[in-house]
Amino acid sequence: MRLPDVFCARRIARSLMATCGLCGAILGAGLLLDTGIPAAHAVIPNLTRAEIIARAETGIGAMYSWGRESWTPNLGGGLGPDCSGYTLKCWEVPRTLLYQEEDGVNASIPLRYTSYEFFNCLGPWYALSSRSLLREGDVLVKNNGTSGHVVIYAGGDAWNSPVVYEAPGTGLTVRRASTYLNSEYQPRRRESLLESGIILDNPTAVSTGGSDVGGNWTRSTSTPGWYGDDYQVRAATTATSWARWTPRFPSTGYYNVYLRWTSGTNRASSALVHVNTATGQYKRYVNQQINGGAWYSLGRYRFNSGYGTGSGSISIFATGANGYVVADGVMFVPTQ
Amino acid sequence: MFRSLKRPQGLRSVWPGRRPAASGSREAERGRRRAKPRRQIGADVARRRRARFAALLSSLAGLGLCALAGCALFVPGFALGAEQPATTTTLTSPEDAASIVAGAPPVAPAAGSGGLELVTLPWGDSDGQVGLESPGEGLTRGPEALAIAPDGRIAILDSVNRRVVVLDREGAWTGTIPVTLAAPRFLAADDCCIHVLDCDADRRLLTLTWEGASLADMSLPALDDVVTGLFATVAGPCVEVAHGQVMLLSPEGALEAVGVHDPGVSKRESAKAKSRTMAGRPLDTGLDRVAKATFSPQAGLCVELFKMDADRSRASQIAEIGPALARGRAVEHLVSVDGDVEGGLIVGMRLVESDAGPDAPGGSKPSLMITKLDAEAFSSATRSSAALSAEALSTEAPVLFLADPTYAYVGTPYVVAPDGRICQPLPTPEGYSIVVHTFLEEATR
Repeated sequence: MRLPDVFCARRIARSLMATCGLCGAILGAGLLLDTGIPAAHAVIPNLTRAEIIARAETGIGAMYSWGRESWTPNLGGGLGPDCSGYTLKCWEVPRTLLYQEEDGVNASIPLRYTSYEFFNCLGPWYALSSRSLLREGDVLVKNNGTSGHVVIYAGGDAWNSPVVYEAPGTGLTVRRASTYLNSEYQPRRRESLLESGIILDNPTAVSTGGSDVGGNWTRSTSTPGWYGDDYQVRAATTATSWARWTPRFPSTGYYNVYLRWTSGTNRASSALVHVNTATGQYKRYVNQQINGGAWYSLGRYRFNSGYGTGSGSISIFATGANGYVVADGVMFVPTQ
Repeated sequence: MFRSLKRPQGLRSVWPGRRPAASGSREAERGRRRAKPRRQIGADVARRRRARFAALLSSLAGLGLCALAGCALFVPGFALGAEQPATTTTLTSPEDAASIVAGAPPVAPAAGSGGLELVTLPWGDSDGQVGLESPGEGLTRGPEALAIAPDGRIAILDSVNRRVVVLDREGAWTGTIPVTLAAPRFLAADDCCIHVLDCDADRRLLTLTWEGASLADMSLPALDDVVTGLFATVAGPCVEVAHGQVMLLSPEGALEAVGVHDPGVSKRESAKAKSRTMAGRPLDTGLDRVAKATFSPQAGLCVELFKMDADRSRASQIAEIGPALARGRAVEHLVSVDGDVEGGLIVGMRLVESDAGPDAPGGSKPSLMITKLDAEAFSSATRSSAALSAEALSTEAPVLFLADPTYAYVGTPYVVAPDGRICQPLPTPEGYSIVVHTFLEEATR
C-alpha cells in the first residue's frame, strides 16, 4: 500500500526535527533551548491558563494508565492517562481536546508527544530560562532518554515542592499534590497561551451529549463573534443536554460572572443558565438572539476557593430550549 | 502483622513490577517516542524506512563523534570513560554506623559533606529490599518517605510495596508492616508509633505501633490546599498544608487525647479526624516549639519561632530569624526547617546554581545548603530586639552541602533525625541508601 505523500513528508519532517534536537543537545546548545523564543510548530488553539487548570482538575482521581491519554471528566475514578497524555489533554495539543479516546481524530497523528518531546522542545512549546518564571499551566519535565515524567505546575514553591497536577505512575491516581522536584525537572511553556484572567472557552466545557463525549454539541465558526477559536452549539432537544464550565477559584470571594455567545435569529430566546455556588443554585435565562460577541453579565456571586462542579460552576442547557443554544465561554472577574 | 526477620544475606537487586527497559531495546524506544497503533505498510515501504533510519543513525553517530571530539579538545578534564564522582563514604565498620544514629560522636567523613552510608537496600519486594517503580512515562519512584525516632529506629515508607520497612538504629533490617493505603506518601515517627498518611487517594491517616498494631485510622478532614508535611508529636500527628497552615489531628470526639501514647486506647476504625490549627510546624516531638517559615526572592528568608504553652493552646513568639542564614549566597528557595533535641534549628535552602556549594572531591555541585543554629545563637533574638545578627550567623553557624537525589523520587532530599543529624535518602541503580551527615565546621570553612 502506498503511503500518502503527506504522511511521508510528515515523517521526514519529524525525523529532521528530532535530528536537530538531538544535535542541539549533543553540542550543548542549551542556550538555543533557553532563549524563550518559541520555535515554529503546528498551529494549536489559543488557551488560557485557567482552562489548563480547569481541564487538569477534571482528571483528578483517574487511574494512571501507561500509554493512555484520556479520562472521563470529574469521575474521580476509572482508567486515566499517563503523565504526558494528561498534559497533552490539558494543553490541547496537538490540536484537539476531547476527553475520551480519540481514535478517529488521532489516526492521522502517527506519533504522540511524550516526555521526550516535552523535554527536548519538539512540539508547540518552549523552554523557560528559570523555574522562577513558572506560572500556573506551565509544565515541569524530566527525561533521561529511557524514562521521563511531566507534571503541570499549579503554583507554590517553584524550587522545592511546587503544587502540581500529575499522573504519577502505575497503581496511583491523577492528583493535585505538593511534590519535591529536583533540578532535573525543566520548565516549559505552551505556545498560543492567553494571559487572561479566569476565562474558560468552549473546549473547557464538560457536557452531557457534548462533543467531548461524542454527542451532539458541535464546534462551529458559522456566526462571527466567538471567543478563542470557535464556539460550541447544540440544537434544542428534549434529551438531557448541558454544557458546564468549572474553574478552579484561586480564593474565596465575590466574582462577576459573564457569559458569551454568538447571536442569530435561530438562537434560543430564553436559554436556561445555572449559576452553581456554595450557597445555592441560581437560575438565569439569556436571550441568545441578541448581545452576541460580547461578555454578557450574569451578576455577582460568591464562590469558595478550589474546584467544585456543584458549588462553583456555570451550566447552560439545550434541553427544552426554543432554538439553538451556544456555549462559547464564561469569564469570572474578582470583585468586592 | 509484623514479621521479624533475620538480616538477609547476599542481597541482590530485584526489580518489581515492570522492569525498566534496557537502553536501546525496542521497549525503550517505545518509551521515548510512543507510537499510536501502526499502520499496515508494505515491505517496500518498510525497506525504505529502514534505509532512512540507518542513514539517520549514521549521521547522528557522526555528529556525536564530532561533538565528543570537540569536548575532548576544548573542555578541561573531559575524558571518555571517566568515573562518576563518589558522593558518599562507606562506613569502615558496623560500629561506625551504629554510632551515627545512636547519638555517639560520629566518624568524620573523608571529605566535605560526603556523609556516611548507614545502609543500602537493593531494589525489590522481598525481605531486605525496597521497591522501585519506573513506568517509563511517569514518576520513577522509590520509598517516598523516611522517618527516624528519637531512639534511633528507622522507618522507611516503601510505598511501591505498600509497607513500612523498619530498621533498627544500626540500620539492620527488622521487619515490615503492611500499609492498607492506596497511595501512602507521608511518614512520621516517634518512640511510640508510626503515622502513615495517604492524602491523595484514600485520604486516611494510620497510626501504628512499631510492632505493627493499629492504634488509629482517621479520615483526613477537608483541607484548603495540598499536604506538604506530617509530624509526630506527643499530642498526635500534625499535618502541614501548603507549607503554611499546620493542624493537629485527632479522632472525632477526643481532640486532645489522641491516645496514641495511652496504651489503654483501643483501635479506632476510620474515625473522622478533628483538627486544630497550630502556629507553625513542630520542631520536636514534645511540641514545645513550633516554627513558621516564609521565603520570597525579594524579602528573603524569615523564620519565626514560637514556644507552646503547657496545654498547647497558645503559642508565643520567641525569635525571628532573618535572611542572613545563607551566608551571603543567593537562595533559590527554602527547603525545610527542623529542630533538634538540643533546641537548635536546622534550615535547608536551595542555592541558585552560581552560588552552589563547594565542589565535592569528584567535582559535583551540591545545590542544597543546610545550616544549623544552636539554641544559644537565637535565644536573644526576640521580636522586640529585632532579627538575629546577620554577622553572628554568617560566622558561627556550621553548614553542610548536599546534592539532590536524582535516580528516583524519594519524597524529600533529606530528613533531620531528632538528634540533629542529617539523613539523606540516596537512590542509585544499586538500591536505596541512607547516608548520614553531620555538621563539621572544619569541613565547610
